[in-house]
This record gives sequence, C-alpha cells and structure tokens, in this order.
Amino acid sequence: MSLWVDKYRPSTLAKLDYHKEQAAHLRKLVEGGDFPHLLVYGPSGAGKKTRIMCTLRELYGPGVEKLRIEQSQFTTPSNKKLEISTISSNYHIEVNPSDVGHNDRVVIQELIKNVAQVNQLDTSTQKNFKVVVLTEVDRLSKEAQHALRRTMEKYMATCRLILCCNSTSKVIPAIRSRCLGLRVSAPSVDEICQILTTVCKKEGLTLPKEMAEKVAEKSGRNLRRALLMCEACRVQQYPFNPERDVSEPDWEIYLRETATLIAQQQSPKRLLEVRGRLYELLTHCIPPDVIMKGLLKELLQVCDGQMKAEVVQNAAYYEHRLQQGQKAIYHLEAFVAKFMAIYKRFLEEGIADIF
Amino acid sequence: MQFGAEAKLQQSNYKCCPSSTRHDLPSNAESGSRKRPRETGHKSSVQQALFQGSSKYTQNSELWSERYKPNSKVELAVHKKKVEEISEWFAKASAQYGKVVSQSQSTVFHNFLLRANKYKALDLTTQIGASAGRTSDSLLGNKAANDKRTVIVVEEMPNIFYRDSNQFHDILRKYKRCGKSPLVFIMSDSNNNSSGIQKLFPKDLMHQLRIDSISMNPVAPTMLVKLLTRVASAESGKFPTPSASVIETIAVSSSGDIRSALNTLQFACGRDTLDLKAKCAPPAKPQLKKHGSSSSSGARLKYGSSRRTGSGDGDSGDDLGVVLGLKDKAIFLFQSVGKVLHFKRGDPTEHPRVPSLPTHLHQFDRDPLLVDPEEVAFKSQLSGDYLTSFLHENYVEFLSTVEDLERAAEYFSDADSLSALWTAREDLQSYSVSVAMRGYIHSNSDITRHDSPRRNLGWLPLHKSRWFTASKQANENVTSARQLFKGYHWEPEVLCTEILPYINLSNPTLHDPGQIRFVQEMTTFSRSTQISR
Repeated sequence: MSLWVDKYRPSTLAKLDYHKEQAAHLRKLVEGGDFPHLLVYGPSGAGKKTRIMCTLRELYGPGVEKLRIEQSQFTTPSNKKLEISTISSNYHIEVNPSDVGHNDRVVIQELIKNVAQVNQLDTSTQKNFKVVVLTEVDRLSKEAQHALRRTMEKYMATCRLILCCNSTSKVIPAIRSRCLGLRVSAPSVDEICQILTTVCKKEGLTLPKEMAEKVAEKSGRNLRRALLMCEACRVQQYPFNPERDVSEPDWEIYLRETATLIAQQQSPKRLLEVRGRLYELLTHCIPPDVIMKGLLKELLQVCDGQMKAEVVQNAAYYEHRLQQGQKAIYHLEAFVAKFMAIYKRFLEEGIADIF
Repeated sequence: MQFGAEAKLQQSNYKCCPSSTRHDLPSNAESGSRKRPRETGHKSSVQQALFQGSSKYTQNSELWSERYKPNSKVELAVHKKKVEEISEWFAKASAQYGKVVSQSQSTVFHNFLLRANKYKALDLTTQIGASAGRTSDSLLGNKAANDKRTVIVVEEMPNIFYRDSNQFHDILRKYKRCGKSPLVFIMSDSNNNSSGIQKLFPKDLMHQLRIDSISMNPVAPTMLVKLLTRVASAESGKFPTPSASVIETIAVSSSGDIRSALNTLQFACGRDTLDLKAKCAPPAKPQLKKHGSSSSSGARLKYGSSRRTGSGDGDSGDDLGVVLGLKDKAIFLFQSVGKVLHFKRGDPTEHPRVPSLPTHLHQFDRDPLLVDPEEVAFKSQLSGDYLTSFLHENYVEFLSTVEDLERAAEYFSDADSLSALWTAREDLQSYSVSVAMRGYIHSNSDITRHDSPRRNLGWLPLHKSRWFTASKQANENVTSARQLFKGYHWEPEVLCTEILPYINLSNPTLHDPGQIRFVQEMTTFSRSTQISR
C-alpha cells in the first residue's frame, strides 16, 4: 500500500489542482518546442517535483513514468570512487548531487556529459534533447555550481536541465540567469482543504470541513505534510473527529520540549541537557538547519517584541555559520547559549522593573 | 559510558594478528570489535572452544596469545551473556542446517575466498567445487553422508570486495540458495573502516538474506585481570610473577584487546618484571587507586583510567605504562584537555612585562596564564579538530554563569567557522584550536586572577566527544533509510523529517521487518533527563 502522497500525485499538467495558470504556461512552453533550462523553486511541499514530472510527461508522453533506480559510479581526479543513485527513464535522469558531499562537482560534470553525449534515438517523433533533473541545487557547492554553469552552455544542443531547490538565494546568479525561473508557491489553505477533501472522497471517506481546515492550518501550507497528516488521522480514528488533535512527527514534539527546557531554566547544567537532545536529533537525521529553525520558531513564542529581533538576528547568524562550518553542534549550542543569555537578561530586567 | 567509550579511540590498530597459520580457525578473542554480520572475534574462540578438541603446543617461543587460546567455553574471557547468545545462535543455526564444525571445510572456503581474490573468479559454486575437487552438490551430498556438521568462517575479507561490494553480494545470494552450512563472518569495526561494513553488509541485504549480527564489546577489564593472572601464574616458573599492579595496568590500558594484553604481558615478563617492581611498587596502582577502587577488593575496573584531572600529579602514573610499552593514547588527550580546563593563572607581579589594559577594557583584564594552550595542543600530537571537540564536550561544567557560557560557546562556533574553507582547513586548524582553547579560558570569569577562589567543582569526569559517534550514526542512518526505502525515492531530508515519522503514525503495510524496525528506531527519542554520555 503506498502512501496517499504517492498514490494521488497528479501525473499530467491538466490534472494539477492549483496554480493552473502556471500549468498552462508550462504547456505552452512545451508546445513551443524551444524548451529552456528551468529553475524550479519554492517552499517544501508546494509541488515542485510533481510539476517537473508533469512537464516531463508533457514533453515525452507516458514513457517517462517507467522509472528505474540505478547506481552510477564516478571517479574523481584523485581516483576516488563515488557512487550515487539515480532515477531515470529513457528520456530523463534525476539525481541529487549533494549526496556525494563536496565531490558534487565531478558528478555534475560527468553525469551531464554522459547524458548529453548520447543522442535521442528517435528524434522525429520525440524531442531532440534529454532532460537532467537536479534536486537540492541549493546544497551544491560553489565549485559544482560553476561547473554546472559551463556544462549547461556546452551541451545545450542535446540536453536540458531542470533544477529544483527551495530557495534561489544559494544558487549563483550565473545559473539563475541561464534558467527560466519558475516559482511554485505554497498552496493556500483553501486549496489544501479542497485537495484533502477530494483525496478522501476517492478513498471513500468523508472529511468534515473543520477537520480539513485544521489539518491544512497545521501543515503550514505544505501539501505533502497535509496529506501525510490526514492519512495518519485516518489511521488513528475514523470517522474523523475534528476535536482530536492532529498528530505531529515525534521529532517536532521532541524539539518543542527542548525549546521549553531552554526557556524554563538558563544554566550550564541545562545547556548540557539540551546538548544531549540536540545530539539525539542529529543522530535521527534531522538536518541541523531544520533544528535551528524549529528551535527559533518555538523560542520566539516566549519573546517580546524587541527581543524577537535580537533573537532572530542571532539565529540567522548561527544558521549561516552552520552552513559554513563542519560541526553543527557548536553552532546550535552557541545559539542556545546566546538565547539563554538574552532571555536571562530580559527576565532580570523584568524583575528589576517590578521593584 | 564515560570511560569505556574512550577505549574505542585506541582500537584502530588492533590488526596485529600473530597467527602464522592462516588456515587455522581464528584464534584469540579479538578486542573491541563490534560485531557485524553474524559474528566477531570472540565468536571464533567460542566456536573453537565449543566444538574443537584440545590442541597441543610445545614450542617455547610461541606467543602466549596463541598458547593460551581457550579450549572450552569456561575459559573464555567474554561475558557469559555473550557466550550464551552465541551458543544459542549456534544451536539455532545447526538446527537449521544440521552441522558441526569441521576445520577443513572452513579452510576450503577460506582458500576459496583468497583465490577469488586472486583470480577474480566469482562463481561460488564452481569455486567451492574447484577447491574441494568436486562439485558443490556432491560436496554437500558427501557432507550429509559423513554427517559431519560444518560452520564456515570467513575471518578476513578480500580487498576486492571493498572495492566492488556487488560481487560479494552476488556471492552471498548464491550461497544463500545453495549453501548448506551456516556461514560466519568475523569483522572488526575499527574507527575508519566502518563504512566498509556498511558497504559489505548493507541493512537491506542483511534482512534479505536473514543475516544475524552479534556485536561483541571490548572485554571487561576485570575479566582481563583474571585471565592475565591465570596466564602469568601458569608461566611463573620461568619468570618472576608480575605484581598485581602491573597486571592491572596492562589490563586497563589494553582497552579490551585480549591479544594485545597477552602480548604486552609476555613482553613485560620477558623484560623481567623485577625492573618494574622498583618503578611501581610504592606509588603504583596509580590510576585505579585514584578513583578509590582497589582491584583486590573486587571493585570494578574501568577503562580510561588514564583520564586524570591533569593537575600537577599527572606524571608519576605514566612511568609504569611507558616501561611496559603500552599504547595508551587517550592519556595524552585527556591530560591535554584537563590542562586547559583546569588552567591556572600566575601572579602578575612575577610577570612584570605583561602590558595592562586601558580602563574601559578593564572587564577583559586577566592575570597572565600559566598554561600555554598552543604548547598543550602541540604536545598532544592530536589534530586540532579532535582536541577542540573534546574540549567542547567538557567545557560547560567548568563554567558557572550563562554569560560565560554565551561567550565560550561563541568562541567554539568561531573556531569551527575557521575551518569553513576546505582548501585552507589544514593550515587554519592550529588557529582554530587556539581560538577554542583561549576563548574558553578567557570566558571563564570565575578565574580571572591568580588567587581567584576556585569553585569547588568536585570531581568532574571528562568525557569523550560525542560528535564523531553522533555524526557517524547519522550517516549510517541516512544510508540505511535510503537502502530500506529505495522505492520511495524522496530526498533524504524529506524522508527523515516527514515521510518516516508519518509512516510511523499511519502504519501502512511495510514490506519487510527491517523497514519496520528502522522506522521505530528513527522515531524513538530518548527523553531521559539525565545527561547520557
């Protein structure tokens, strides 16, 4: 049994539920023949991948849905072997180059070269180019991005790139300017409600309106999450009970508890406790930037106006360092210590004001 | 696991296999290996003990680690529970397959693997056939006829499989189909080649082929002491018996590696322990005694005795270890970290040339340091990265206010961001340690003067840095997540933060028990309020 997210993913541009105008643009783009490189960006769970797959289907027909998972091997100049798994059809290949860490440059160059050197077999009925889909482009190293820029131009004749990322801020301008930017914004709460209701109908379930709204709100306009939540609710209780809380992932609850610990007490001992929890989150593969954002979100709730600015600024500062540095724990902990200090000063001032 | 953990530090160089007879079943229990596919070192000795007759050793020059190979279950220095676990596995395995150990067969298979390495010949069946001189079918038939029960033990992996693990997986799959005997792999996971284990035995394959994994812990020091004492007394005719403190020191410093402990003992005895007596008689029992545990009274020993507070009395205890030629590296590490954490300041009047700060910077004024952090870092012979992370693990308890914490934590963050550029990482590393060490020292506002009253910290144990294990674990988890949920093709981040948690909540039918177990593992968080290390 597959998850609803996979089961009800629209497969053609015509079946997309929202941003229909954009879908129409995409179709025109495909029909126009001169398909450009695309840079698809937008928040998590907005439907970027879905749109990319729909566009590919529009380009090549149902053949792109015959996917195979393969392991590709690359050799770095220093003779190190890299392995990366790719998902491909006869017409496209999808790869997440950030899987190989700082050797991503080699993967990008070799992969695109390999794909681009082989022409499409039947150019009369098919497009005369193949597509390389690169995900998490914002996590590519600068070297890799520059390599990508050169390769893009060189193999334009036989290959198009579709790049996918959450934010363009980490993509170098040279790449941004070579692609057609396509922002997929998060669906509105209403749109999510709509989709949830349709999916439930297809499953033969009735979803009360309040419940749909509740889930949509809770999902933070992340459709993937909304569907996962809805499915979890279905398993826990059916008929749906709108009174019941929507369950959240365990790590989010854990992170919230951690934030509460920080706000409760500011001491070296507490910091040690928090550190233990940060390690626990890290070993459970929660990315450090997600931890940082989650902590910030929870901690801001105990801050007043002026302090908020200071806390956010510090969070941004340490998040930036997190990206640069090697050991995430130093920066997460530094942020926690910083917050503790700021918050403690705030509390002490508050007490001073009272007297 | 305050101390036990640091033992791991030293285990990477354990591969000093003294056995010259390659075809023997692996002998001594090896240390510190966390076992993987099926079994580890101890297992083989267990096996030997369980299934093999006695062996005769006569030569005098023989290594003790060879001579005192355990011959029965009772002699094993492994924890009873482990022995039971392995015995159970054997019972299960032989019930399934109906075999017992025959040494020749293991040799054959060993040969086969060695040959496979040499000739790159990969067909398991024909290889077994070739090396045994018959086809595998007839071989198996023969076996049944002989009613000889067999366990195949593979102790060392041919290198080629590290490069191309697919070949190995194919062989395993084939073996699964045609093999009739339980197959045992013994691997030690040293710090650096754990990725090799991940590669050779990925989680999905383990589940697919139903490979059990039994992991062995380092042998407990108390057990080692018993064993060493037994061996020493057995040998005592030729040498003066080493004193209890010598044995303790050896046991503790071997970090659970029986072979190395026995070898050390043999060499130490060879050197004539009378020399040592002078060294270790009065002040010795150096490390153990310090924690108020006296081994004679049966108190528990722990590894990492080396960890001491680094203040003053540090040197006397080393001597014995040096004389014995022990390989305790952690001693330097924790000593260095301790030196920085318990830093001392001098009287400024004795250091007249130290310039004073202008008044508006008065808050940053400190008495001159008596420790030279750079020298500590240099002497420790460790990479700055490593030293910094150990310091980071321990500094918090030495600070008393949140303000100090704020500053010190920021310095650690600074230290790490110095290593942002990988091209310059090597060069900047020494600066990065300096920033961390000096940052901590300056941030500690309790000790700004040479006569600052010291807060009674009590006895603070130092801890091993958790970062390396944590990031290793995280990497393994990501890899496993990918292997197990291949079909879902999500990016790892989405997989771990959204898909897996909700799979846990919504319980769709998963394909195999490996997935189920993994999802549970990934969604269970330790909430103990104790600071676990």
